[in-house]
Amino acid sequence: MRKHDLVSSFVFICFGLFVVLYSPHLDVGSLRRPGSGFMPFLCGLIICGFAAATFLRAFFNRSNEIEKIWDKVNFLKLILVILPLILYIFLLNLLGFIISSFFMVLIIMRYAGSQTWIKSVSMACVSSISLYLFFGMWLKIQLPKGILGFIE
Amino acid sequence: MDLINNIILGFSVALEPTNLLFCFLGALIGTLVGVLPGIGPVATIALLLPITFHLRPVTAIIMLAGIYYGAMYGGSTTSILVNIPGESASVVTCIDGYQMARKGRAGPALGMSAFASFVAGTFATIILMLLAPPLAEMALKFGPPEYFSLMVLGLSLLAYLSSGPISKAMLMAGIGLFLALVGIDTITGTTRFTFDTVTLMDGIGLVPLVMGLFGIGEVLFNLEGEIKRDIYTKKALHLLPTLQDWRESKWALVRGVLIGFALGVLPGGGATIASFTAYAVERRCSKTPEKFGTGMIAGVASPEAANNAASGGAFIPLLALGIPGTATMAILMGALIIHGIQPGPMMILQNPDLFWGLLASMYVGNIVLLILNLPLIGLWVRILRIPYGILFPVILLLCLIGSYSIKNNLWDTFLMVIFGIIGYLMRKYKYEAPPLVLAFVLGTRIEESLRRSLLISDGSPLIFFQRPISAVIIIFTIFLLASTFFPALRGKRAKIEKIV
Repeated sequence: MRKHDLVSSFVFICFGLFVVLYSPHLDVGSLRRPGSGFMPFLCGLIICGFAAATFLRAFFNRSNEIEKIWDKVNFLKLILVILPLILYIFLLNLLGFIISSFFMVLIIMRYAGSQTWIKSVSMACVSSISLYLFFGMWLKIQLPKGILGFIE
Repeated sequence: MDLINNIILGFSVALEPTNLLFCFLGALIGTLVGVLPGIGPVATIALLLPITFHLRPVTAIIMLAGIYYGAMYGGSTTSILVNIPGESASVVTCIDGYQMARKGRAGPALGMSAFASFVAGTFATIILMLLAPPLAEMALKFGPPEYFSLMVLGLSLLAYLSSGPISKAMLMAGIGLFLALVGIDTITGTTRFTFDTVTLMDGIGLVPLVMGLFGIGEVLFNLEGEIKRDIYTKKALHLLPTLQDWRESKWALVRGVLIGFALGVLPGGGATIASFTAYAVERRCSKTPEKFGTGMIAGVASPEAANNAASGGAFIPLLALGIPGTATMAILMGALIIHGIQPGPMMILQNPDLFWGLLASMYVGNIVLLILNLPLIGLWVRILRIPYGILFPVILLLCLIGSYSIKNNLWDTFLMVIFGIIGYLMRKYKYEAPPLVLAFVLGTRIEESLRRSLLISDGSPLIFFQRPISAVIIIFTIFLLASTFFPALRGKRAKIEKIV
């Protein structure tokens, strides 16, 4: 975990510094009259402090144990989940809930979940329609209808 | 006599047909998500939060609480039958429970776990009824410095009891605090860290945050390994434990309840640590410690009692002080606030029907679960057989709907996906999410109480040491954080985890 801790805590130190340096724009104020930037300033210091502690702890860790956390990761699978999710958000208003949900579940189930076409298509159908009926019709949550807007 | 009147009031609320229905529904959904690995109570409560918007607050909270303790029941079923804990709180139940199942004694193991859960849940509810009101009365005297110290203590305890290094957990608390500051400063009206976007003006939503970290993040993480399933249900299930079983586990049960409740009340304690501790204690108390891990029924009774007692105990800081101690309680607090109720000492006085109704519904819920769990085990096993490849796209879709339906804002959904990726990375790099969520929920109150305290003291931070209650709490917190340099207690927990 040593190398990973060094990397991740360094990112957090940078983030904490950003918060600390940005806070004066919000008016830090004084102890007597704390302003809007007071808590962000303190918060940035807390982040920096504990990130630095994590960094030092990893730095002085003498064990040579190497943990490969990215070895087993199938990046293609990850992308095949994340990308449809993001596409879904951008296409939801245009295509409507049922169609976008159908394609999202279909693609993710077929390619990331490694199910057969038949299973994927039928699950995508059942889940998109039944969830629309449950949330949209029964609970009256406003789900975008998109190009299927003519369905009442 | 007040207490009896209140209890009667509580039951009259809990037994209203609508509330009864939603209590049942909550317990059922809770058991379901407890059974399903890959989605836990925190994400589920966040997911179902929008559904409760058109319910009365008391009905909503009864259902959401049902999900929480229902999940504790469900989690043990999978631990015993499949050796996969549905929830982290039932990890230890796997050890002896699964071995019992392999020996063909799945029935008694499930029966004992359901019974232990029932006893513990009931006990916890009774103590909650007795303890919460006087505690709340005491808390009425608290001012901003006391609240500030208490919240800092809660966060530190949670970080202290988390499994990784404390600096990482406190770092996450810092990030959670920062996320809470995004949006409009309620005192001055200044916008902070919104980067001129309208979505962030309102602040980051609890639901997108929690569903991203716990829902999407978990799914992405689970994509790595195939979840292995070996279900032991070949033999007919005789659910009743034998007389010998009872004899072996009665004291384990009592000890489990007591340990669980005590640890549950502590902020940051929670059900997971309670079950680990109870198991360790049981092994130490046993005359045959070497037999633990081979299918001892005491090894099922004690952690199961502990995790249920702890989930009851965890309600105390939330209901009496308005300070949640665990991630689940944090999201329940968020739910109460969305429904226009500020949890805390005033809640018991202002909304007695909600407080007592919720407690009474926990009694009812525990009975529902006992009835529900035993005959439906066959159904749960069948649900377990659904491959994860089919399950997770639907979980993702549910998360998308949940985050969208809060405000009908697609940017919230986008934010959730971003938090999902962050949650995944946090898991990979071993940063824990609960301190982040807790700090996020408490963030605005921490800021407010700190600024108010400083105004009261005319800028002197010594105010936290000058008021007796606050001084005790803050000194204890400092001691706690300093003691991590002598990691005896934390080492012990790591050891327990290693055994598992």
